[in-house]
Amino acid sequence: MTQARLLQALRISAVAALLALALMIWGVLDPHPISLVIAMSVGQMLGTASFVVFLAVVFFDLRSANVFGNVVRRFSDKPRA
Amino acid sequence: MPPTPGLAAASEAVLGMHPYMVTTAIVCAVFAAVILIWFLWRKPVLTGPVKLVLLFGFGVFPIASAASGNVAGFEHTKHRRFCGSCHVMGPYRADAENLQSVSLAAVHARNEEFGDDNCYECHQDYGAFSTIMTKLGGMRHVYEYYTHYHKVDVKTALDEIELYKPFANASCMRCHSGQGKVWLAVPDHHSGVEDVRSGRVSCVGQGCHGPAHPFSKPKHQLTKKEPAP
Repeated sequence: MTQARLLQALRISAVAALLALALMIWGVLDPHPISLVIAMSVGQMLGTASFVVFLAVVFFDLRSANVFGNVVRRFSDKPRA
Repeated sequence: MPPTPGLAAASEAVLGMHPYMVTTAIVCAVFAAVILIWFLWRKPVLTGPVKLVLLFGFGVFPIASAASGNVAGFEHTKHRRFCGSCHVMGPYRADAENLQSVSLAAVHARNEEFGDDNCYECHQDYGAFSTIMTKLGGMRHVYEYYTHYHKVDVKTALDEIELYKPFANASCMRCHSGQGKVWLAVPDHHSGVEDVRSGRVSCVGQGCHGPAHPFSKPKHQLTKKEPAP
């Protein structure tokens, strides 16, 4: 995945996270049955999904920079005692 | 024209009831929003420090906001104000808040152990996961309200509304254990304690302490609609 596509995915999830925050705060400030249900379901699902996308983007970014390979190589190159 | 309670009034009430949780939820949400808007506005390259900042914007602050918001939300759903926010529950709330009322619900609402949470204290399920099970059960109330009772007038609703299942004596016996001397000194209690424990006799039955609300009645006494001729 290219850096541009990663950034695009992250921007979309940032918008989703902002929407999730707005829904959650709506549930807190105007706690009626429907607002609480939406905040605790749609709001938190959107927030969780955006966080998962962020973690995936970080993972792909680290993998494309070969960070994991370097870490494995560093450990495997260690001389045994 | 009387002022209608809006978001500002609701916010004030919630802040007054759960100040720390609500403030934490709002502050964390604001911090997260600032980071996310900065990211969308400035479009920075994904360097190490940017990822760290975004971890707070996507993860740490929203999770803290959601957690404290959930606690505040769950606590608020225990309040009589929340139960009475559906118009069909208005008379029940009004009775509980009526200082002149001698109904079982009103008497318990004046007990500081119940206080503002008197609806929840009596109607919560009995058991280890009572809060969760009660709130899951409450989803049916939300469904029924928004699919049916939302447009029903209060008078009709009072005729129709009933408990899904008989009121459990265990809810009463959380406080009135049935083992105290004063309780057992009442002849009817003494002779019927086994029936009360087994549920054969209801504490809120017509001949005992019921009905709990002035307009609640057993299922068989509900207004029956006559079929059209």
